[in-house]
Amino acid sequence: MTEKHSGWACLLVLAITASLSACSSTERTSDLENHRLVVGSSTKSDVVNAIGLPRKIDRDDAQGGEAWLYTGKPINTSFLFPVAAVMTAPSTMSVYLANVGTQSTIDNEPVTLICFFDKTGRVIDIRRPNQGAR
Amino acid sequence: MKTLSLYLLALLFLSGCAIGPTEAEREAIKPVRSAKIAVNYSLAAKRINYTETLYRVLWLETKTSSQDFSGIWSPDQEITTHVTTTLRKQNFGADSVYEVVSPSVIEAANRRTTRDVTNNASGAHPQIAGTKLIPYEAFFKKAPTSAEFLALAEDLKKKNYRYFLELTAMDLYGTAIGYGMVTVAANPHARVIDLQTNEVIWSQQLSHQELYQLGGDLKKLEENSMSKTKEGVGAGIGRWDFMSLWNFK
Repeated sequence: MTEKHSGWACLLVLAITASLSACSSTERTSDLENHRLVVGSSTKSDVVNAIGLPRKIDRDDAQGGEAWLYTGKPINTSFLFPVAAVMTAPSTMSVYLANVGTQSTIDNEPVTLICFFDKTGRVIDIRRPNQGAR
Repeated sequence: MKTLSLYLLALLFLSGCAIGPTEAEREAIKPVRSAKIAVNYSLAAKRINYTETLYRVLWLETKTSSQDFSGIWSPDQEITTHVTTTLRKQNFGADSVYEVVSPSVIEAANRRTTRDVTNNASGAHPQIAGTKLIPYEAFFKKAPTSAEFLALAEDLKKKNYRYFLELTAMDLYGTAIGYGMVTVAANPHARVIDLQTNEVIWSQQLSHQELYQLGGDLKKLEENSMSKTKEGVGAGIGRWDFMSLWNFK
């Protein structure tokens, strides 16, 4: 194989592997931004189907209402990088996966969306903290 | 000689993994085969914890999250029914506590259990902040003495139940394990309490799990009022073999 051909082969492999790399189903920022929930008619089930379960639920026991709080971000992300290492014999090369650290987002992750429900389970308000009502 | 020693060492090491009921437990559990058993399975936190590992071409990324489902699902009664059904299929005289005791008594007992297991948790989940791990075995070896439990036990005794099968899990787990597969699981601790003597006669850590091909999408466990999660919990419990667990085989 010529040098030109091997370059194309590398690009092809990278393109295929990139297309196979999965999207995160715990990262839901885009769902929170693009939902089509309707105040007054959307139900809890509609909310779960559209944007998923909340991180936390606050309850108003007196009124029977609930506030569902969303961050859209995972709690924790850790990364494993392949690291090549030369063993004792110069010709022996091994690849290890090295954990290069963890990124925790729970403590400083802002709540990006709050859905308020009445006691019948209908959405009565949707708010984006710091951005007003929507 | 060296090889033989190695084999013996390996055997000794592996024998530690096979933890079954003790002789005393085997004897004590025998009457359960023909007695009336009341069943209660409670989840301490109505949460599902997620773990997914994503292939990013040049690296692997593991994300964890935890979602609150208490707004759309009160699982305790439904999960208890799954255990009861499994036991009945294996010809045990089991009833769900929800069939025989008033809901307020059960809810009070479950609230107390939640408080006790949370206060006695064996630690915090290393990757999911705010998630507690189930207490050590020693905690479950002692029968509860709280007023809430004793009220529940008293009601069961009045209805002629001799044994109480109590299962307690901290929460549910959803995991994307690769190749598009997703598991729904829980790791409850199970124990049988003799209501006449208020002693734990059998105690064991269990787990149940179901596997789905969902394209690696954990959100599918939440859709349609968590139908896939509910189905997975029931399917996992349905595979428990109490005849083996309690040594009747």
